[in-house]
Amino acid sequence: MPPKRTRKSKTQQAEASSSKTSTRREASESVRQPATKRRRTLRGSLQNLPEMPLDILFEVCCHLNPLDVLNLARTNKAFRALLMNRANVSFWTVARRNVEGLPECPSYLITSSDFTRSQAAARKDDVVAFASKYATFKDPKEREMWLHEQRALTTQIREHSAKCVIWEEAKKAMRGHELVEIKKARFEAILGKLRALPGWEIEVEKLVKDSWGPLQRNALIRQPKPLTEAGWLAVKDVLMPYLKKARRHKLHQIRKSVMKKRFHHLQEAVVSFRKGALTKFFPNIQDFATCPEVRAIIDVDSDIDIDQESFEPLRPLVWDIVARWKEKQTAVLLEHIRSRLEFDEDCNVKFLATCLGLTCWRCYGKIYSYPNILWHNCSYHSGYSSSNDYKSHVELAYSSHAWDASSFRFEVSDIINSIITACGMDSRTVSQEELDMRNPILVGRYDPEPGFKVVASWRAAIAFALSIFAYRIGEWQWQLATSEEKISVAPLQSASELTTRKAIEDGACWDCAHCFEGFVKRRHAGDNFTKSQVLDHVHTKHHVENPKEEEDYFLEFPRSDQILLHRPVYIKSKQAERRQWLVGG
Amino acid sequence: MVTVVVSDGVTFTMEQDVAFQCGLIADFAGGGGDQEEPIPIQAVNSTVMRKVIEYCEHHRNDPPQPEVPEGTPLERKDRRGRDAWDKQFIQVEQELLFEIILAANYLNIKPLLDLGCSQVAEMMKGKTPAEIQQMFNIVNGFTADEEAQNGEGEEKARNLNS
Repeated sequence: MPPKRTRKSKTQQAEASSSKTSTRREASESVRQPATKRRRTLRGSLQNLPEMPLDILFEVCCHLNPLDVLNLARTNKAFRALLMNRANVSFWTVARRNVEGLPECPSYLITSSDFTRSQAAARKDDVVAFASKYATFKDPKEREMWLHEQRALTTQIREHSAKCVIWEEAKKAMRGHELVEIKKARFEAILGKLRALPGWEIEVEKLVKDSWGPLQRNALIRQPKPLTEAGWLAVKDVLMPYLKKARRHKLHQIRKSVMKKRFHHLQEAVVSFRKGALTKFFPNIQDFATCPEVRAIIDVDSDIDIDQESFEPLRPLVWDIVARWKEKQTAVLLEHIRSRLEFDEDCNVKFLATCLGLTCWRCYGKIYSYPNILWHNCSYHSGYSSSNDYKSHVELAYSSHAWDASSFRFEVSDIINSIITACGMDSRTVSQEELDMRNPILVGRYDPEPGFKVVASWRAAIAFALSIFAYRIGEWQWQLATSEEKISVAPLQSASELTTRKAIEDGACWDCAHCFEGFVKRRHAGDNFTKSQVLDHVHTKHHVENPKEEEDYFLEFPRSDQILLHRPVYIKSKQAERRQWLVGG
Repeated sequence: MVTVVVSDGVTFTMEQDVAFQCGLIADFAGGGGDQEEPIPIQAVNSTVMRKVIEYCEHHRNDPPQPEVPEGTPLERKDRRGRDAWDKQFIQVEQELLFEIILAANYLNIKPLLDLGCSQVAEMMKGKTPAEIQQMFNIVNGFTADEEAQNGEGEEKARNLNS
């Protein structure tokens, strides 16, 4: 049976039909209408919805919930008149059926005189209406009967509301459970889609392992609705940056591992290059690795095999490369000194005595003379870098900073300059060599302890001053020693010079030529050998009966300048003996 | 074979099993043999008729729909036979959707009417009155007081929903 059509719909269709018959013509199915008819836009074409046949509106309401019907009734007067009419209660009945478990609508709500309001909500002024009605009864029996009806109605309302509360609670509980299930299914669907992305398998697993928990809090991902294709595209936009980050991380890790192996091969190659020339200046391995010729071999695609042999082309060039590096970094150092120090333009700046005042801010306290300063191997490296540039790979592989002139500051230059001035020299012009040649003998006095004196060469004076740097250095006064003072300390000074030489020999500056592994490894594993230790090592480990310097062992460039090994002569009066702690023996 | 002629004069010839899905045509043909005279369908134009025939051809081999008991909730009733093809088929402009619904109603094709109406309902679901007004271009003729009452109602509805 076709659905019954209302008069309005028939009229409407008849009108539509008559308007179209004017253009009527006989045609077969193959005849096509010219494409002149303009389609209206998607939105707004159902503006005649209220005028649609009632049975169609009824069919639409069959698919709506009561709240949707209520919203439709509020769109305009025509809909409100239609849907809030008691005669059309069937619209609500069919809509109510779409809400599973909803208690049956009690008759008092349907038969209420104010259907519109009863469908929506009771209003406060109903109380006023009740009071007015109560006042109209003159006959107590009639009033009692009316009250009885009202009580029965109240009971009905309470019962219905109790049912509604139970229904609502059950619905909430069910909805909560449903939401959890829906979200779970959505997460699973997203993971499924992620895992199906071609070429991203590793990144997806990393994302799931590392970040999936926090990502589940993302508003788009935790939406309580099934994942649609459009929804997946939006979620994908959220997740792709994480996947890309994971890919960058993966590539960085691969590159890091490849580069580490290459730098190890470079180290082995350099050890072989340096055989027989162990005391010749050579930069630290991390600095050598940054030379363009070396980088050209190492910094290539990760899938190219690089081993020790790959560095063989460098063998004939290695000392030229070192010379160029030294020249370049010396220029950088000079530029650095020039920007921070006053000096005479005619002198050779790098050898100025005042330049001993350069200290590394990372490993504060060590001082260097040229060219040892170029060999400074600052090990204060965090051991971590997320950067993918070549320099970071170098520093990471060798756990050391590349040499950098800006690491050096004139933190102790005031102390050194005061000693140079006490020698009667100009700190802007005097070189270390000149001072060594003149060998001025200085006497240091400590004002609060007049009975205490220090007699020292200029190098020993600096070493002494720096050793007590943390203590009242400003209270020490330096001046040239008088002839009497020189004569009185001469024997002691000779003994001190012997001590200094011994200190240099016994300093941990020696290394074994047989198991020399390059640059960094040994220093990080521990200190180098003292001379006696290296002799013992060569003898016991490599079975060399008479070890020879340069062949079996060699003096490495000291990490800190040997100046710190110079010792002054201390002269104490009896009164000063009590304050020995001051100079630490 | 059954031939129909629509409002703009276009004639369509179709096989009986396709044509008889339209209750109106089946009633016209009286359920027997080929119909020589074209059946006039004045309330439907050729564009809509093509869509209707497309639907009927797709569903020509469908088994007869079981009777759905009265009072079946939406979740169980609505989705019967509405497959991905149907969803794709009904994704049309509002004007055409409106005409398809009217045609399905006129031609008495219950499944197509259901499909069209459920599509309109889907568009309305969860929308506020203002959103429905905007979507269907419905003119709001309420006075300010009536608007305020609607506003109160909306507030209550939101509380109920939350």
